[in-house]
Amino acid sequence: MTAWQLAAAAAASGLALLLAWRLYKRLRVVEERLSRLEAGVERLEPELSSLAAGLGFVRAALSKALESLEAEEALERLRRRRRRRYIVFRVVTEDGQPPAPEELEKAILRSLERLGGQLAVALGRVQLVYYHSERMAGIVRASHDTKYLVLAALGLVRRVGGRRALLIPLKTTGTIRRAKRALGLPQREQR
Amino acid sequence: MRLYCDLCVAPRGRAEAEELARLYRLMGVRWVAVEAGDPAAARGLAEVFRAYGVEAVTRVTLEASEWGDAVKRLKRLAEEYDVVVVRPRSAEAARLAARDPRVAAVQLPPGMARYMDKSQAALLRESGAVVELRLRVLLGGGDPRLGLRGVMVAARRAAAYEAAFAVSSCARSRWEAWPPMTVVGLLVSFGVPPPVARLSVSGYCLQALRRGLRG
Repeated sequence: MTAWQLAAAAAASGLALLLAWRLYKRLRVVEERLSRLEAGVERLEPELSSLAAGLGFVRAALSKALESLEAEEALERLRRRRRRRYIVFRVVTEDGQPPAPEELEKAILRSLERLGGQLAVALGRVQLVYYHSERMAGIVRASHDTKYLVLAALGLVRRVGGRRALLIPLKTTGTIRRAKRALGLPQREQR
Repeated sequence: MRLYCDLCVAPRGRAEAEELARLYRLMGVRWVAVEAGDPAAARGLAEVFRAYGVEAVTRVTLEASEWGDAVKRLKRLAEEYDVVVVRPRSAEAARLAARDPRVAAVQLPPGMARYMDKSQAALLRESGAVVELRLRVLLGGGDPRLGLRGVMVAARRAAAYEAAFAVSSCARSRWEAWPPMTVVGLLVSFGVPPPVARLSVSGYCLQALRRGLRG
C-alpha cells in the first residue's frame, strides 16, 4: 500500500467519524426535544381532563335547564285557559221534522266515540249549546284541539233517533256570539 | 265562504239529482262531476244540477287491468264524457293511466293504497292528474276499519309525496253525501295538514275537472 492510499483511507475514515458524530449530536437534540414534549403533554393532560369534566358539567346543567323549560311550557299549556270552538251546523232529516235536541246530542257523542274513542269524548267536552228546531240548525261546543275530530264525527252521523239524518257543518267560530251571527239569528237572539 | 267541489256524484234518477243539488247548494259545493250509465243520461243529470246553480260535467270510471286493452276504450270514452277517471287493477295500469293526457284522475280503492308511492306521485305531478279517493266505502255497512285505513294511508302518502288528491263521495242519494268540512276534519284527523286537506275538496278537485275538460 502506498502512502497516498493510506492517506486517502485515513481521510475517509475521519470523514465517516465526523459524520457519525454529527448524526449522534442531532439525535441527542431530537431526543431532548421529545422528552420536553412528553413533559409538556404530561403537564397538559390533567388540565385537559379537568376542562372535559367542566364541559360535561356545563352540558348536564344545560340539559337540566332545557328539561325544566319544557316542563314549564307544558305546565303553562295546562294553566292556559282552555280554548273553545263553536261549530255551526244544519240538520237535514228524511221527513223534514226536526229531531229532539237530546237525541241529536246523543247521536253526535256516539259518532265521536265511534270515531275517536272515549278519550276523544272526554277531551273534546262536546256539548250541544244551542238548537233552533224551526231553522233545523244548532251549535256544538268543543275544545280547540279536537275541533277537526268533532267536524268529522258530525259528518258521520247518518241517523238521529232512528230516522235518517245528515248534519252539515257550516262554520267554526271562537265565540258563541259569532256562531249565532253565522246562523243569521236576529240581534236580540244573539245574546 | 269557500267554494267546494265533488269529483263524483252518481244519482240514480232526476229526483235524487234534485235533492243532491239542493243539498250541495247548502253545503257550498259549486262544481260536481256526474256519473251515469250512458253519456246522454249523465248529460241529463248534469242539467239538473246546473238548474240549481251547481256547475256539472259528465264523468265515467274506466276499469283497467291491461293498459293495452283499456286505451282503446279510453279513446272512445274521452270523446263521449268530459272527465275520464281510471280505476287501475294493476301497478302497470296505475302508472300508465297517470301519464295519459286523457285521464283526469286515477282512482285508488282502499286495497290499492300501496300504489300511491314516490314514483306514482312523480308521474302524477308531471302530468297534472290527481288521485281520487272515494268515501262511499265508509258507508257500506259492516266494519268500516279497512276502508278507513285504506283512505287514510292513500291520503297521507299523497300528501307526503306532494301529489294532488281529491276526495269524492260518489253519492247516489243525499244520504251518501259528505259535507266538505267533514271531509277536511276527517283528513286532518288522519294527519294530513289542514291546507292540503282543504285543497282536496276544492283546488285539486277543480284541477281534475279542468284537466278533463281540456283533454
